[in-house]
Amino acid sequence: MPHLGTLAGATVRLWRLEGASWRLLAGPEAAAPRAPRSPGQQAAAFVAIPSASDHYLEVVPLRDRSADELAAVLLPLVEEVIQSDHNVAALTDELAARYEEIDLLYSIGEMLGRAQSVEGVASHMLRELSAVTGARRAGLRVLDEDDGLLRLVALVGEGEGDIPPAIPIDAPDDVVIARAWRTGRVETGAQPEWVAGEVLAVPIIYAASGKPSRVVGTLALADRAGGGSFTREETKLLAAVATQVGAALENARLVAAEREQLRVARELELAHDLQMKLMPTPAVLDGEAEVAIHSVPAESLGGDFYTFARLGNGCVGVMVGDVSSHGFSAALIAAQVMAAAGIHVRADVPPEATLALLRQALEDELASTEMYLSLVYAMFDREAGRLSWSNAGHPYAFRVPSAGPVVRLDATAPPLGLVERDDFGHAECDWVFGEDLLVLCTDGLTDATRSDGERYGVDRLVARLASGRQLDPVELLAHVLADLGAFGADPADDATLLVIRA
Amino acid sequence: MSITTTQSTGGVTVATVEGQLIVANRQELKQAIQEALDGGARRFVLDFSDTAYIDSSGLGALVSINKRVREVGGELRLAALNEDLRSLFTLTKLDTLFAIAESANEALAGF
Repeated sequence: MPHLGTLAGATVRLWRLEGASWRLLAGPEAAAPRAPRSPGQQAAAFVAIPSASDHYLEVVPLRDRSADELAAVLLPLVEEVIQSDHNVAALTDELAARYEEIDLLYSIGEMLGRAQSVEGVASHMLRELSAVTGARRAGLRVLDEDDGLLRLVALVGEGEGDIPPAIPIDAPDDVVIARAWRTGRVETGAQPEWVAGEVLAVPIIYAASGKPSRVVGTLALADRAGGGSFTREETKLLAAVATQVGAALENARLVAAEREQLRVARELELAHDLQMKLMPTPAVLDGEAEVAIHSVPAESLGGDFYTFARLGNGCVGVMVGDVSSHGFSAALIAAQVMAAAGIHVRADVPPEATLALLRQALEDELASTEMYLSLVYAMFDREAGRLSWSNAGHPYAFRVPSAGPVVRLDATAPPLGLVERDDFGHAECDWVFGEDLLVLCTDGLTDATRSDGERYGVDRLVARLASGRQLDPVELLAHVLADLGAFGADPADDATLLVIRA
Repeated sequence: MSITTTQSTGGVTVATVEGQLIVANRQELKQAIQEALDGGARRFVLDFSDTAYIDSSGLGALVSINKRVREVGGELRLAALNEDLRSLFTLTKLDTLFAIAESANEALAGF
């Protein structure tokens, strides 16, 4: 203003009338303007500025010039300056508001980043959001998929009305929050029974890359402090916060799911170790027979089982079986067979009686689970030079003599659990101790299938056993597994191979 | 659908299993037979002429179906098992639990 005065050859002041007193906004010091006067007086001009209410321009010419003329020239310039000044102030306010919003988004991002769960920081986040937007109430709801409800996780602010803790997702359209969830869009409206003023609700949407987006909750503001509707900026801000909350909710859900998966994996690992410990090691035979075993479940737990034991009087018993399924339920049945076998496998109990005792022990369990099992139990009697066995529907038992063809040990009864009878039958043959091999396996081995659909099959197994008949059990086992590997099949089921030379 | 059921002229329900009877489709077969039982059917032929393989869970399903059919006084026959499947039934002694016919026609003629 002083520069303007110098240029114009006048003292120029800008005044504003505040109530009954004058305030000097620009120009040289003065207590008050010269008394406002009517235009046309020569000494000074004092004019109201049309575009800025209560603003006045005082012009006192230094030289002999008309004050009114000068005022007429200066007025448009001063008006422009005042307008620019207003624009700058408005832009500054706008900028400050944006900064506040950016700060809010950062704060919420940090809060969510540090927190273990969205619920833990929800109230704090809503308070910040309310402070920035001027909403007196704010609420966060998360979808409970099982019950189809939007459950209130956090609510801030106080007011009249009773906001329900859960809202059904199929609530009528006048429930703004439910509508926002259904449409997946910003929704506004009044909800006078719950809260004063306008309600602004945005859906919390999460879209994992490559997957369709899901609405996982809602974020709502209500009862705007300034009254009226929420502004476009406030709506955009709320939507931006909702996006962050969506990602955080989904991350928390994924972290929880992964933790649960890890826990289950650890438990399955323990169960697998436990199952393996139920099966004996070759050391229990104490030199009375040589044995080699390969047993791999299709999942962490399997339905294959085996056991062998010294029975006294020069007898050795060996059992291999397969429960008609795999996974946890099959492993439970297999564990029960092992427990029952531990009790009933004895030198003075012949194989068919042993199977009858096992059937009785498992009867209820097999009936209730609709499962059955095939198993073969063979007993070597060194004194008699014989092998006797009972075979409940297990097609994979072979005698590999030192000379002559490989012989299949036929089933003597259908699989255990299919019929309620105890006549399991019995068969026996001569046995050359120290030379003949007994090979027991499960269908996971013979049914192992190559990518072209070809199964390994019994014929390949038998040919391999014949070619390796002079090997010791450990070597013969490796001989068969090497062939299976070369064949390129991948066992899809539990697979067990046991080779024993008594 | 790997399981197809049809009604023969003699009122026998004939079910065919295409490809294999395994964990993945055993329930479908059980369901098909159960629906026929619920509809009053009592005589069944399971035609395996298009079936190459049955796994242990498939065998379990057959035993369970056989049991359900018998419980309501019905009868189930298996037909047209290929050589491998026939040998599987023999080796496991399951052939002692089922009526097995060479072909679906032979099974139907027996009713």
